[in-house]
Amino acid sequence: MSDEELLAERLDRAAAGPPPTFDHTVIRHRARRRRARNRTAVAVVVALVIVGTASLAARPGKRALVTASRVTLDQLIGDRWVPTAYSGVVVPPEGAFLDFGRGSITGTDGCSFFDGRWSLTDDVLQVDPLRVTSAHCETVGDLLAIIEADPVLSQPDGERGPIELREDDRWVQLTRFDRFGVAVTEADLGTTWVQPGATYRFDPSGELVVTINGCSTTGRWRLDGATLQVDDLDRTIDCSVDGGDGIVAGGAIDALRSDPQVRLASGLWLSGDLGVLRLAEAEQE
Amino acid sequence: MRSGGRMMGVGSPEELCDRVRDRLVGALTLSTADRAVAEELAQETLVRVWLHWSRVSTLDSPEHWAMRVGLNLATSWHRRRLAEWRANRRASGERSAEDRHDPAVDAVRQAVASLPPRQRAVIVARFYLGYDVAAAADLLECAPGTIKATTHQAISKLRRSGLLDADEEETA
Repeated sequence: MSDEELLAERLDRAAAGPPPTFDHTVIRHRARRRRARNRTAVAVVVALVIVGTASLAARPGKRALVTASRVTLDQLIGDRWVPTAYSGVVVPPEGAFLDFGRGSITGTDGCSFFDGRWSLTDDVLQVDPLRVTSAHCETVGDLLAIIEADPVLSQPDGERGPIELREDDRWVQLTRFDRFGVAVTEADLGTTWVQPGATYRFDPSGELVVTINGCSTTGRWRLDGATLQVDDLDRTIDCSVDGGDGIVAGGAIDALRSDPQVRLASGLWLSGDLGVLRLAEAEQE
Repeated sequence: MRSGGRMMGVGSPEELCDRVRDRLVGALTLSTADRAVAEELAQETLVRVWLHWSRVSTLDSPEHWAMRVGLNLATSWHRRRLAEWRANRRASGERSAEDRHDPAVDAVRQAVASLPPRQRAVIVARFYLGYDVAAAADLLECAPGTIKATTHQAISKLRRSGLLDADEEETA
C-alpha cells in the first residue's frame, strides 16, 4: 500500500465518529436567529439615532450632532480604516488596518495579512472566505474573527465618525486613518524614530538618514500637509559593516518613498500603499 | 416534501446541509483534532451557507464553497481560539465520549492538526475529501504546483512523525 493510500485510509478512520448531533433543522433555526439578531441590532441602532436626532433637533439653538447611522458603500471605500477599540476598550492599533475597495477588502490585524471579497446587505458586512497569510503570532483584538462573522455595521457618530463592526457581544471600532491620532508638524517629526533593527532620523535641516541593520542611506524630507514627501532616498546604501554597498531589501524604504500619510498617536504612523508602518520615538540620550 | 414553506429538493439549502454535513464534520475533525469543535465549526459553516444561499446556490459547486468556508474557519479557530477553548475544557474535565479511548485515532488527528495551516488543508482536501490537484488548488486558491509541493512537504512531515509507519497502529 502506498503512503498516499495508507494516509487516506487512516484519515478516514480518524475522521469517523458518531453521527453529527445536528441536521438541517438546527441549521435553519440558527440561521433564522442570526438573521433576526442582525436585523434587531440594526433596528435598535437606527431607532436610537432617530430618537437622538429628533430630541437634539427639538432643542432650540442646538444642532443635531448625529447625522447618520446607516453605513453606505461610499463611506467605506477609498479610506484606510484603523482599529482603535475592541468592545469599548481603546487599544493601540499596532499596525492593523482595513482597506475597502469596490468589492474587495484587504488588510492586516497587525500580524497576518488578508484579502477577499465583500458586500454590504442591510448593514451586514458579508465577506467571502478570506485568504489569510499564515503568520502565527498574537494580535490585539479579534479583527479577523469579527470580519469573518458577518458583523453588523453602524456609524454611531455620523458619517464622518468611526464605524463599528459588531458580532454578538464583541465589536471593533474602526477610525479613518486621516482622523486617527493627531496631525504631525515638522517639529514633531524632526527627531529620531525607531523600529526593531532600523532608525529613521528626520533632521530639522531636512536631511533624512535611514539606518537598517547598521547600513544607512540618506535623502531629503518635508511635510506637505499630512503627507510625508521624501526625495532622493536611494535604495543603495552604505554598509559600514562590510565596507561595501548593498541594497535595502525591506519595504521600509519603499514605504517612505510612497508619500505616506502620517499621524501621531503613541508613535509615528505612516500609511501608504504598503500598509501602516509604526515607528516609536527613540529615547533621548 | 415541504419544510418551513420551502420546497426541499436538489439545490435547496436543506439538501446541501444534509449532503455535506458528515464529510464537513469529518474534515473539520481532522483539521481541529476535536469532534466537538468540528461540529460547532460545521454548524457555523452551514449557517453561513444558509444566510448566503441566494449567492451560494449560483456557484458551480456550493459544496466546494462550504468546504472552503469550513477549512478557513478551522484555520481561524486554530489561530485565535483553540488554545483558550481547550484550556477551558481541560479545566472542566470535559471530553467527548468518542475522544476518550482510541489513542490511534487521536494520534492521527493530532498529527494532522499540528501541521501548518496550508499543509493541513491540503492533506484534508486531497486524502480525506478526495480532491485531485486541480480541485484542491481551486479550493485553496493557489497554483496546482503549490498543492503538489505542499502535499510533498506534508507527507514528509507526517512520515517523520511516524504516522505513515506500516505498524503505526500497533505501536500507537
